[in-house]
Amino acid sequence: MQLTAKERYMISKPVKADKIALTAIIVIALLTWFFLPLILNTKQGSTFTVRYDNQVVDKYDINKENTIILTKDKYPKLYGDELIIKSLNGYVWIEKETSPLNECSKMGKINTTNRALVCLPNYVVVSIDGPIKGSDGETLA
Amino acid sequence: MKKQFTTKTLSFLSISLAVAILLQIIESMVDIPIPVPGVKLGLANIVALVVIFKIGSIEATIVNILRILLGSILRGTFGGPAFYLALAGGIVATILLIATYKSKLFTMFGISILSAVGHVIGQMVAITIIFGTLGMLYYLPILLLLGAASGILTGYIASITLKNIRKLRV
Repeated sequence: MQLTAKERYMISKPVKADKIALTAIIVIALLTWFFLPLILNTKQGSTFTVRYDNQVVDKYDINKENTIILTKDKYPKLYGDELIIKSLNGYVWIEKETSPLNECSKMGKINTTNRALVCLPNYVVVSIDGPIKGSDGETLA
Repeated sequence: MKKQFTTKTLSFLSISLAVAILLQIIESMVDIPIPVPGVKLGLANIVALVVIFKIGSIEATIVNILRILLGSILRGTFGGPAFYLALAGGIVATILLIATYKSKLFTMFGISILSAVGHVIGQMVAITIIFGTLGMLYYLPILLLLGAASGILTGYIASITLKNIRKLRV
């Protein structure tokens, strides 16, 4: 069965339009890389907020050593039995969790307001808040 | 004029849907060693590319939407945030798939790349709305680049697939 001209074109090697589209995406990605931190007002946060299923669990001082343990008894949508979040010296990270391929704990440690730990399988989001005026630096929870 | 589906077309669509769901499930089991959440190869998009090419845009949309619905039911994520992210990504990806296909400017590579990037953008918008945080935007540049890379891969595979099934009349 012979291919039509359109079919031949569609499965041919990349044409000029394809290369332009790819170049445009690379340029946009690089521009976003450069400008996004400026737009998102990147700064070190003083607190971080833990949310479960869009509800705020609590706010914590990011500079203090915190170990937050969410258990399935209280948070039934957790993928595994428990999820452990830790913070120390301005960084927060997911220490232990159960999710397919453990993708939540692979996100590493975060310390700036423009990043968040989004753990979809466990319905948990950890975001860093900006400095709060009048904060006495004590652990909030 | 109302489009008539032949038994052969329906069989082709059913097989395509089954393959798409299978690819989606297999992909969810593959660990990509990149510390960025939600990075996937987008292999199921190969099926959408083949269907739009062999049959049409409405059928490709149906396959994509049904793949997301049935795939999430089979994986137990239906109704959760992962489902809504997949749906948002799938809708934007399908819109770009159809728009670029109908423009007749791009080959499978361009269509696949733009569709993959559309998937990333759809998911970003959904995640920002659902979780009320701009924190995931930090990953946008790397996700755009990885989306483009996966688009090249899926476009290449779709192109080879189409060359090999061109004798199939549907």
